[in-house]
Amino acid sequence: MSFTREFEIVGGDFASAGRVSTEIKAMLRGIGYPPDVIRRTAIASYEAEMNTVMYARRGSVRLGLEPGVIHLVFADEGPGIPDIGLAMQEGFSTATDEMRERGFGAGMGLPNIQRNADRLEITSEVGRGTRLDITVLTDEEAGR
Amino acid sequence: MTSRLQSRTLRIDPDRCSGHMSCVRVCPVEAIRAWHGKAEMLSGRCIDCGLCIRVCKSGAITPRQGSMPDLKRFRHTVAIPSPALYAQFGRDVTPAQIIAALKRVGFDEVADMTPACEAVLLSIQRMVQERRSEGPLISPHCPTVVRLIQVRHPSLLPLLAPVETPQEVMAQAIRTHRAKVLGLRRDQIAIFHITPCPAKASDLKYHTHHQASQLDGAVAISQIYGEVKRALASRESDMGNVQNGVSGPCLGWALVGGQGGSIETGNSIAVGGLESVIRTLEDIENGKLHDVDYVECRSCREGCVDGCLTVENLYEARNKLVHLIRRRGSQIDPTSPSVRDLTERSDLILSKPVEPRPSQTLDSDRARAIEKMQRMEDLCARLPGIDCAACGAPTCRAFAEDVVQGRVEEASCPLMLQQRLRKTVADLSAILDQLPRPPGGGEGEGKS
Repeated sequence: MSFTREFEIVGGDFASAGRVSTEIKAMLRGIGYPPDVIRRTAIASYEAEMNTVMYARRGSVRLGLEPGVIHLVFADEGPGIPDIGLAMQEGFSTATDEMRERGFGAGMGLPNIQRNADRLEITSEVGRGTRLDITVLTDEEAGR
Repeated sequence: MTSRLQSRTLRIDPDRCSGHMSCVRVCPVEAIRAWHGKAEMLSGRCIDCGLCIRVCKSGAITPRQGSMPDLKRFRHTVAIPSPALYAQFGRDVTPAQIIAALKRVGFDEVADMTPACEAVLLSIQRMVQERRSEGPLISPHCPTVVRLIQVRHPSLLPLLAPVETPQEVMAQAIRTHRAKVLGLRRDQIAIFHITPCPAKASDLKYHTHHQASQLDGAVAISQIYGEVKRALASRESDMGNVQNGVSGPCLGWALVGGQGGSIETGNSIAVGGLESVIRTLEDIENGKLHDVDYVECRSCREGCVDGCLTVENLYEARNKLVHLIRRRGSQIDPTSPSVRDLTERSDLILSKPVEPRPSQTLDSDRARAIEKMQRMEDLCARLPGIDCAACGAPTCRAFAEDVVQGRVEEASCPLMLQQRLRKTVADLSAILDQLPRPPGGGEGEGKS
């Protein structure tokens, strides 16, 4: 048994930013994952969604569920990340002043995803876009 | 099909239900269905918010409340009113007069919650100030919000401030004290909460915090309103020896923002109304609101004064409280002996965490749950997606869940049924077109 579902994310649409993560969270709740797994996945997925909304023209996320594993693949058409190592540092942000005024871009996006996920792979091409591969392990034995 | 239990707090009268779906659509946890033209509750889902009571046009949904207790059955009876009660009966009637009237209704004693509210607030203040871990503390005092977190946001349960409700603290203290002073057994004393909402009433039976409630029963404000009103009118001048002691912080307990107004926190917010509460809880779950240290969430928009079992106009009642609080001040006196006594009680702090109540899970076996989720997705893709609710479920998604869980058949969606009928008619007509015309009859163009 496996499950996949794809969602679209519109760049710059701050009004509905976070909706995809809310939907994903509702699905995880329906499956009955432990609260801690839902919390970590929710934070990672929300941060990744916000990054897409903030920087990209458009993007998508594919949610994949298999025994023991939650998979989130965020892929966007956007500016890409020139130096992934730098972006992974706490506090680093390229958010514009307007974004900051709206309370976004505190520079905790990628490291925060890293902290909450069990695995994070970033591939990016400047001028083309970014792909985040997020894995959360669901501790099947403990959860059942 | 599956069991169709009603809510433990609310009752739907099928004879009065006219099936116009307002309750189905308004329920924030999708607990109501109207599969056969009448509303019914899916078991285990209701969080006792009372929104369905408010929107039902035919008055078919009522709280399950017992009749007024027979006060003569007990040696000593005590009423503990919610501060929302003091907001009733008009601007000129003081809390002290309301307390005196309640006694005339038949209670041996009426205990104002002031010391308990203040002791609980001081404990919260200490917890907020000493807190070092991530995320704000969440107020645990609206039972509907606690249930919402149990059902929908279990990952936030560790953020609930582990403090007892003031009515429980008050009841426990009074029972212990009166048993000693009056020389009675603890069970000869009966303590009732005068409540503004069904959630607080059901909290006694299904206490979220510990096994047994200290309260013996609940009486709705709407249930006792008439008797208190008559008692107020009959001997208005007789105040007995009642002190004018209900404090500002206690009165503020009935208003959204009333808690934060009386304690010192760095950055507390107050949220009223379930829709806003859900949005705020989502934000906390997403890791936002990290600069906030205390969140007071109330299911009712204006707080307990807005409870669905209150009587007076909400805004007039709210005004009365605001006016009283302004006159009495919202400061807590931590040196007051009654407050200090209660603050030191060990039962003020909850020892056991509140447990999750995952009623939205598709299956207890995770592999089967994943498979059901996939079937739900596939079905959702075929459904019209307009959430018309004609099937009896609030949304197409909820309908898909009902089908996957075996509660209804796919054909219960009227639009899907119509599509299928159209296709059947088209198929039949195509078959007919291929048949040779019977000799001497048949209309339309046959094929050669």
